[in-house]
Amino acid sequence: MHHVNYFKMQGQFKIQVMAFVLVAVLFLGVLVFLMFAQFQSRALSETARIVRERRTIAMLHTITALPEIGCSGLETAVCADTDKLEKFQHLETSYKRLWGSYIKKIIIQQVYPSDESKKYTIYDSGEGGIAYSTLIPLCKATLEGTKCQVGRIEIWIES
Amino acid sequence: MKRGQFEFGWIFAVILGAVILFLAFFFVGRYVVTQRIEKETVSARSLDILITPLSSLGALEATTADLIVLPEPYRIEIECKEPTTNEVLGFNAIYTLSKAKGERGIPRRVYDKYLFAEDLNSSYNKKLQSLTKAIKLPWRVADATMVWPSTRTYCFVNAPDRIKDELESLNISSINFTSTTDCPQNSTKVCSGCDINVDLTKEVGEVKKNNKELPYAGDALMLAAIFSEPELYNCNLKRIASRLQQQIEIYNSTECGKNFNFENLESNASAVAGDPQKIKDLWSAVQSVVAQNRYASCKLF
Repeated sequence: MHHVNYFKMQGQFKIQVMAFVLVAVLFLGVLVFLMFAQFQSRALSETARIVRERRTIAMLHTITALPEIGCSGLETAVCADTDKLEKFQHLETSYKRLWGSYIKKIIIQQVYPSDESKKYTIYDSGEGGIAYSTLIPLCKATLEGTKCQVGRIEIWIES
Repeated sequence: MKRGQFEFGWIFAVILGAVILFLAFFFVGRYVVTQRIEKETVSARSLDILITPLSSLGALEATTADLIVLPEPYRIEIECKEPTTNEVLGFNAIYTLSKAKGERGIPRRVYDKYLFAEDLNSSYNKKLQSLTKAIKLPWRVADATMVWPSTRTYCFVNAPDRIKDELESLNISSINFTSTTDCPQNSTKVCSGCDINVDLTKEVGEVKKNNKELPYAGDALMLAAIFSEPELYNCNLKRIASRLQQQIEIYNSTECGKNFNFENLESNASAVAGDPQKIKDLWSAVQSVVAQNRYASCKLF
């Protein structure tokens, strides 16, 4: 009787050990799975970042091609009209959806002649980010002709 | 060993095993669903990214075409939200659905594009043909982007040279031009009295199809009406008119623009923003501004 009880105890002990081993193996499997999921998520984020970067660079010229900003009478040129920019600043609210959630700020600033530095805020979400920029002509069409200066368009995207 | 201890051990193992199995199935299930939704969402973004460069070319070249190749066959739905006081641009929303019958992905909303399409959600398509043309009322207001499955063919009968030469130069394989009604089999005929009933020679008129009339003004809107379903066309027309109103305000503030009279154009644009059927009235106001620009010393466009 004493021997039977002993073997029963030993058997139970082995079953419980096996149960805990299974639990540990499953727990390890869950950890491995979570690590894999995080890796996949990171790869997707990186892809999204690259896509956003390429889109932002394309947008630098797309913005100057907008009828609301582009030079009048010079529709085939990459150029911004200063009169339109002056007015467009006041329509920022109407156009805020145009830029997508990843664009944080768009500014066009005159850089030459530097003594007449003027800044036009096309869009400002109030948040910072990574900036991309390029030089563009800033022109004003008048009855006497078109006068142009050098400007820089800057776009901030989320980092 | 005591009986209670024996039973507790088993009960503990069973309960714990069940909990772990449940958690495993739960997270795997969520991961699979999330992956599918992410794939659908990425697909919608791919479509938008493919379209974006075409829109940007609208200012440099009047009309462009491209073949959009999706990573796998998708059904695509394009919805339109009309402009409101708070959202003057409105938007188009693009949904994609893959053959794996996943859920509709998160829609990609585009506020600067005007997409015209018909029956993209009735079949799975891997290749889509797109055609982008600048809408000039009278300056380039925006670009109309027409999208259709590359397997669907259109046959333009007796198209005028201004349309035929422009579209033929783009080498769109799914558009044919004939001088008679002998069109390729299963192609959709576009002509007066055809499946898509339209007088292609007229710059202003209406496209009649499926018992609906879609009025247009200008070649861009004519093509948009040909390739679009009526609800999408009318909604986008309202969006275009609303955007034109914003642009008139901007053009009117420029030194050159102050020498123009935009009253008629503005009132007609406002009318179309409320009722797209009034687009034909807008055309005469457009021609008036074109005439002003022709004789202006400082040209607006």
